Amino acid sequence: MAILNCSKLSKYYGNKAALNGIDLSIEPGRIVGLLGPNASGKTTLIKICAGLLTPSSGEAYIGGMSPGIETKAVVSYLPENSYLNNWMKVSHMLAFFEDFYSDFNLAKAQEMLKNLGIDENQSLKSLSKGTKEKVQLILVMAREAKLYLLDEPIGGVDPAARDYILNTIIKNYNPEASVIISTHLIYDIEQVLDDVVFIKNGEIALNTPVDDLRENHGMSVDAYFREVFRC
Amino acid sequence: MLSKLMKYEFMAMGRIFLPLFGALLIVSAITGIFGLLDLTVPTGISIAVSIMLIVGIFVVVFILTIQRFWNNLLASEGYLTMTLPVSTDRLIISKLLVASVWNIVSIIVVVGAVLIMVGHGLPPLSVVMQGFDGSYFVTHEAVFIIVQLVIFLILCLFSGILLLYACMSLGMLVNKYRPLVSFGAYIVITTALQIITAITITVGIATGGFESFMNYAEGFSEFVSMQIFMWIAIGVVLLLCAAFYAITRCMLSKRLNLQ
Repeated sequence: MAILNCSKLSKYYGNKAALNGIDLSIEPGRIVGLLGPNASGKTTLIKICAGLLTPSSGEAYIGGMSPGIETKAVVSYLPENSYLNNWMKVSHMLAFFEDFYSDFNLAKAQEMLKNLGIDENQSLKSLSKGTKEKVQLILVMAREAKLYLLDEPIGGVDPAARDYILNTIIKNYNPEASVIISTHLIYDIEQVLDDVVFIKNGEIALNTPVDDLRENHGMSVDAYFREVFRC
Repeated sequence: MLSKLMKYEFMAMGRIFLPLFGALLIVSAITGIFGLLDLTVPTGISIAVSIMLIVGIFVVVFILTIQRFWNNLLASEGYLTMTLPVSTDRLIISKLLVASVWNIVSIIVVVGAVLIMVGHGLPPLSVVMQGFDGSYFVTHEAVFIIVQLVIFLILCLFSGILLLYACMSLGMLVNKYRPLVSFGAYIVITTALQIITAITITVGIATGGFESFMNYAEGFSEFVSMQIFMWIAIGVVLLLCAAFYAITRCMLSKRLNLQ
């Protein structure tokens, strides 16, 4: 069964359609790149799946369920902006995740923090923006979730950490789980992707395995993206 | 899950309140000692500091009640809080209960601080208690009314906090100027409630409804008529709580729109 299934999903802000009747199905075990220019509807789609927005019409199902408490327990969501409680220490955030998510793997999170040289006893307020993003990504990836929704996960971190993060995503591979990554930085992530979904003006412009795209068009995802979305 | 939510809520607010409470209690103790020693100038200064701390505590209670809801549910932290596998009801109730507890504890600490400051000037408790002949305060009827009054006051506190929550949630109806819209919602709701109260009183007097109700209540004993008034008051506040809660819940579950 598809881990994510969207059927005629639409979201309007006033008269403006952010999503316009999207049909999308993501199978388990896939790493999917959700790619599109600014304001194409990527974040809106992710927010609906994370249970942060109610669709205007249509349905989104995660593991057969509409977004709610049950789906939030199996969806690991990384928003574009920082959501960390600034008054806490890194260790407090670990305890927080352990308290609320039964699928949180504390040892895994601690190992990743150690590998990236982040001290658990540091207060979040004292961390740089990039380090905060790393902490947030570690928290999200240390969950053993069914669906990972990563909205611009590598935008604010340096290239070295970017590689580490992408490796973490690949290493985290679980045949039961899928990862949806929304980003503009296609060149950096295309090596890890199984499928790509191009989204344009709230509609799906392309949904294909990466290998098929390379074979059929004879170019990389990055190059093809530039061609499709040429201004 | 409710207890876990409350734990973090207590931590978030406690880290600000506990030092403030500690400072107030220490300063009031110092004031008390200066007072005992009849040191006029130091007493005056420490009384001034205590008053500033007391005002500060009440301002912080108000600001934190708003800030914990706004920042944690409607602003950036909302991206985490609103994706936790917990119900909207639990999120609202945890915030409401913890904010209420800190409101009540603040009042207790302030009363305690005032007693510490002026304690030496008061007659001992045994003397105070002698002032009551004991006949009224020990009856179970009086205890019942006191309990009712406490329930009424707690519900008033709940309705005040839930009104703030409802107004902040209504701010999500727009994408810009949310604090301004929330403040506007507060003005509109409180004005509407005042108008409804004024109309009820006017109609009650004009139609003679109040008078016949008073006559009806007079037919009962003092205790029963007091009971009738208390239950009506509790019912009205409960209704307000339910309305503000429903607005907040609906906005958070159906119209959530984080920025």
